[in-house]
Amino acid sequence: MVASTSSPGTRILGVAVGAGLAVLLLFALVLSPADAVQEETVRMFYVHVPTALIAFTAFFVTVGASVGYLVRRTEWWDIVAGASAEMGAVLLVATLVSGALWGRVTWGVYWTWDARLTLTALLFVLVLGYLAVRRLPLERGQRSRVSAVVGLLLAPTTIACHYATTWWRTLHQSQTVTTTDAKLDGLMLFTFALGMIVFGLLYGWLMIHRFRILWLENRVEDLSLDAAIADRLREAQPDAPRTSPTLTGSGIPGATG
Amino acid sequence: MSVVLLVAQVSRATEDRGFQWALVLACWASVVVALAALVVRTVQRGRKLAAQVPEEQRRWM
Repeated sequence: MVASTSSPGTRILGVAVGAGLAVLLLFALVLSPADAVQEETVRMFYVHVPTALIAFTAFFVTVGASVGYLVRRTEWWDIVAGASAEMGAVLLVATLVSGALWGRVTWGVYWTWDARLTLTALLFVLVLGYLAVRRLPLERGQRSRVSAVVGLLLAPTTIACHYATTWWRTLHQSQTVTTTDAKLDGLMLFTFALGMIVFGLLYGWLMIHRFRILWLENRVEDLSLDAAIADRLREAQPDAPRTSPTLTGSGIPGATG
Repeated sequence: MSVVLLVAQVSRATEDRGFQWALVLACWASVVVALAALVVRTVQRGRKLAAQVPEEQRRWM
């Protein structure tokens, strides 16, 4: 079997996400009715709001895992924080793209600098900065520590972004479904709930894969370092037996096989 | 006159609906294509990395 980050559980989850996305497309584009005011553009609601809410959730997971890392100092918390931020960034791009297209019909412009949109842009730049910090060429513990501190900044920005329509007067409409008097019913509410489930499962599924990728990256980094140290030792002691760690595959600097 | 206005109104409404559908489809298509690309990229990256790490270090997967 080909080595990969898949497992029986992730395969089942992947099939569920694919099937769920197909059903969601059917409901969002065909079965759910047009809105009385927003007409057909309401169909963007079923991707815009779920991706935004799941992205916010992802950033809170990053914040929680960053706190976990700063307390526990274990690799697991660091990787959870990084994997969740990656998924949050992708979902936030989907939010921004769908929001821009929706805004073009509703407001007549793709973008305007109101509080909600500006804070979303700020949040996106912040998470890109966080992901850039995670790639800094530092010792792993130091990099994880710096990343965790930067990751904490996502908390106030995400909260401000979420409540922007409540705290300030914005062009962006106020909360539709996260208040107690939801303004949706029937098929619209069902399609929205389905969107939340599908994008939530997608987040969970890809999060597991991203977690495993980051974990494997750390193992490859360890093996490369061990191999490089063994090479230097061998250079210093030409008669010493070869003790470099064995790497399967190729392409790792210092790999000796 | 009123018939002309009605036809113009219906025509305008149809045009608007077409524009709305174009943006709706562009929205969904861009999201689905981007997610599909992410999935493919993730699987490829996972395979490449997993091939470089000894099996005993990734048995938990």
